[in-house]
Amino acid sequence: MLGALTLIIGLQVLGTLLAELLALPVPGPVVGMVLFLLVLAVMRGHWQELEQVNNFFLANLSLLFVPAAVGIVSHLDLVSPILGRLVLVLVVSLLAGLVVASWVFARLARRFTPAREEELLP
Amino acid sequence: MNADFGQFWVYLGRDPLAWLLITLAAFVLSRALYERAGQTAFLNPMALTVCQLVLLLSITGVSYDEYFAGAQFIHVLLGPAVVCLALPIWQYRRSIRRSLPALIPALVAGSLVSVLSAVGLGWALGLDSTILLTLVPKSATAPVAMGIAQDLGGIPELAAVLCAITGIFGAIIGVPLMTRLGVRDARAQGLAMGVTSHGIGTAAAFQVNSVMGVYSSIGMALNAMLTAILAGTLLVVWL
Repeated sequence: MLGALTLIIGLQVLGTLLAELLALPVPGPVVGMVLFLLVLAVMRGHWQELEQVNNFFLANLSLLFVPAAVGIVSHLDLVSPILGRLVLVLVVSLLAGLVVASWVFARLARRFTPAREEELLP
Repeated sequence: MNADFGQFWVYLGRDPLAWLLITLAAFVLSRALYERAGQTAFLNPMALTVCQLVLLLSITGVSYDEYFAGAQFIHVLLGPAVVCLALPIWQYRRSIRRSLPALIPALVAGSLVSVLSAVGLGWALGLDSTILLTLVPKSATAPVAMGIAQDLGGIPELAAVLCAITGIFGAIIGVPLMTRLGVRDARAQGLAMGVTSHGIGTAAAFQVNSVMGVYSSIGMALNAMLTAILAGTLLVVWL
């Protein structure tokens, strides 16, 4: 467990360093994710420890966003006068994005890359 | 608020671990409620937890900095968790490669529609230009969105707030909406979740199944890059 965690945090630090040095438009952890993909491609095959660490993170992923989202509290005075309009804009744009992205995907998938059994929802 | 109650919070606030404990407890409670109610999307555990904590902080007058001193122990795990998303992506690499002809156009269309509809509607509703610029990256993952907002001349902190609101709504309505519309392909739903609702949507997608979670991770990562490129283009066109 500790070995896998060390590798993962190491890749994040490396990713942050690279993002900083090369002035990449994405944050360090995303670069770290790409680096991790490269490591996996080189390693090929499974590593039980990685699976454990990964399962822990995935099972609790939504908790990890809580502290950042609570940050809303320090901007309530900026947000509250325009809250109604902002929420309307965000929701409409979210619905538009969801509908368009899933529709385009489903439509093209039917023609070029039909879903397999395990990729269909019940 | 009576004085004893105030004293109690002053005492609690001194120990950062108290806020770590309260955050964990609020989440465990919210998740129990969500399970109890048959996992209805409207009781999204993350959204419930955030509401409770925002309410608690507003009532007690505890500052966000004070709260974050404890909550940061959860926050630091976010980076490693994002790095970890490489593993499911790797495991599903064949499926992803096969799906590229649908994935790439859906990514571009979803990303463009998100940005243009937000800015267009915001403009129509008379929001001022600083806010409009801050709306541009609202579907990207928060750290990327803050950087983009900064570059465009928006407000980075507000960008993070808009991201959080978008993600929370996406986590709540995304899957039920697309299912109602008849989208049965988990890949399509996942990608749309990631492109519109970044990490918070991805967390919700993984709760449905790993195919959806993997496509959401990909959508989030690619949308972060695409939004940065779109914003850069916007900047060049405007200047």
